[in-house]
Amino acid sequence: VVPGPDGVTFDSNWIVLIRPIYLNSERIGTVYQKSELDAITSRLMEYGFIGGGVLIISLGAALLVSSVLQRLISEPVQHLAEMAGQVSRNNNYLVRARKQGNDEIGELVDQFNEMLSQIHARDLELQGSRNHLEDRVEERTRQLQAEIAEREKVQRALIEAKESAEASSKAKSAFLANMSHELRTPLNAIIGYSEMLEEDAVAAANQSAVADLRKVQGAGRHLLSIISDVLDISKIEAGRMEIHKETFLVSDLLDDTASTVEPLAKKNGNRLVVTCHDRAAQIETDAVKFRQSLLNLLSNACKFTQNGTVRLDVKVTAEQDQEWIDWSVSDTGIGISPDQMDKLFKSFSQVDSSSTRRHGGTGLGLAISRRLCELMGGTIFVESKPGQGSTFTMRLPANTNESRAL
Amino acid sequence: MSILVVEDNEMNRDMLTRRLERRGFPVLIACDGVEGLRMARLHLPQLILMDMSLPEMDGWEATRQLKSDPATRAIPVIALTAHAMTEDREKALAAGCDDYDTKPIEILRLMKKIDALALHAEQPGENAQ
Repeated sequence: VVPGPDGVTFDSNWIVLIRPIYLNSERIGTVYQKSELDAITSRLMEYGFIGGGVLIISLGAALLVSSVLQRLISEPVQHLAEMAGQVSRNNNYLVRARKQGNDEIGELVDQFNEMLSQIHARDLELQGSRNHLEDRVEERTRQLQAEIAEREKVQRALIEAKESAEASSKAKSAFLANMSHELRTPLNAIIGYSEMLEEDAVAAANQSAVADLRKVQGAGRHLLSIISDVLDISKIEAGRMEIHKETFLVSDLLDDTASTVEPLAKKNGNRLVVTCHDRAAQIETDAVKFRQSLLNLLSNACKFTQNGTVRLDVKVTAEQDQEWIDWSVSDTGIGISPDQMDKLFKSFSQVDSSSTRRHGGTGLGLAISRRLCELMGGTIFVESKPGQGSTFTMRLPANTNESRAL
Repeated sequence: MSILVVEDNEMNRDMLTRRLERRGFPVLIACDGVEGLRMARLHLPQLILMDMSLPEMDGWEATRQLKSDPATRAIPVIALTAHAMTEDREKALAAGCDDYDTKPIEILRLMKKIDALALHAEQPGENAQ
């Protein structure tokens, strides 16, 4: 009986093993073993129970361990995070994190607290220096205010001083103007009556009386010219000298001045030489002031020169992008030394005071002439060598616009 | 030819009067602007020498009134100003003065001006224009 094919077969409860037995290649029999499966099944069940139990116990242990660890690790970290949040929300650097152990977290907490106290210290320091700075700013502000107040006081004092100086200067010029008018009235009477007496003396052929009366008139006229000079300089210094410009031909002004000065030149035996190459040029100037200035230069030249030559040379020059008319008055007189030159144009300073007595005049003539020229947009300058004579040049702006238009 | 001198300063008036009289002019005198105006209208002089700074009515106003009155318009007026100031001179000419001179009086210079204006005034045809 062959129970079945060779091999191993299972069914639900049994395991069947069939294996042929050979001897010299001849099948001599068959091993047939049939065993129940119950023992194996119960062993498997047993192993399953053991495995499950081990799993559950280890899970429980893990849960326990993790819950303990959570308390140890994440709680302090959470606390730290909460503290950091509190610090950043409230800017309160006085709070401190609670330390729960000497582990890494504990160290972190220490560092965090240390950081907070440093920030707090720095805050205090900053606050301190800010307060200090504010104090310093306040103090400096007070100092500056005091300084400003002081300066304002000084400024007010200066303004007052200036105003009072101006007022007294005005009062001075008003006084001089007034006084010169008051002086002129009786002086005019003196001159006028002496002229009348002179006429009488001439009619009566009383020669000595004529000579004396002429001296009275001469002295009177001299005094009158001094008064005019003083009035002029005070007007100029008070800024009240007015200039009325009109356009003139150079030739007209030149001829007029030359004819006036001719007798003056002859008086001291001087020759007057007038040269002008630009007679047709035009000049815009105040004729009265121009005449006064040029006549002053010419009469000075005549006064300080004996038996010599007085030249009046007029020419157009170009300098500083502008055309000028130079009126140069040269003499062959006593000349001026360099150190005398400085004083020349100052008020009340003839070169030496004895010359005032010798040559007459107030010493104001040149100062007035220069200031008048400056008011007319020009100037006066001088070149001189002692003993060889002097050249005074009156430089006034040429009226170039007008000449172009013509 | 009569000349009216309007001048408030006694010495100036006296001098001017006598020097003009010596030269043969009959002279009328007035001491202020109002009197000057009255004398001019009453006597119709040939020429007026008018000081500008006068009491009552100044020379500029007196001249304006003389020049606006047809009866006295033709009388030449020479302004006499104390200051040799351009503005006074211009003011005098603007008021209608025919000429001006500055004090102190230089009699020769003044005589030239008087002669020129008198010559002018003797030609009535010109003044009527």
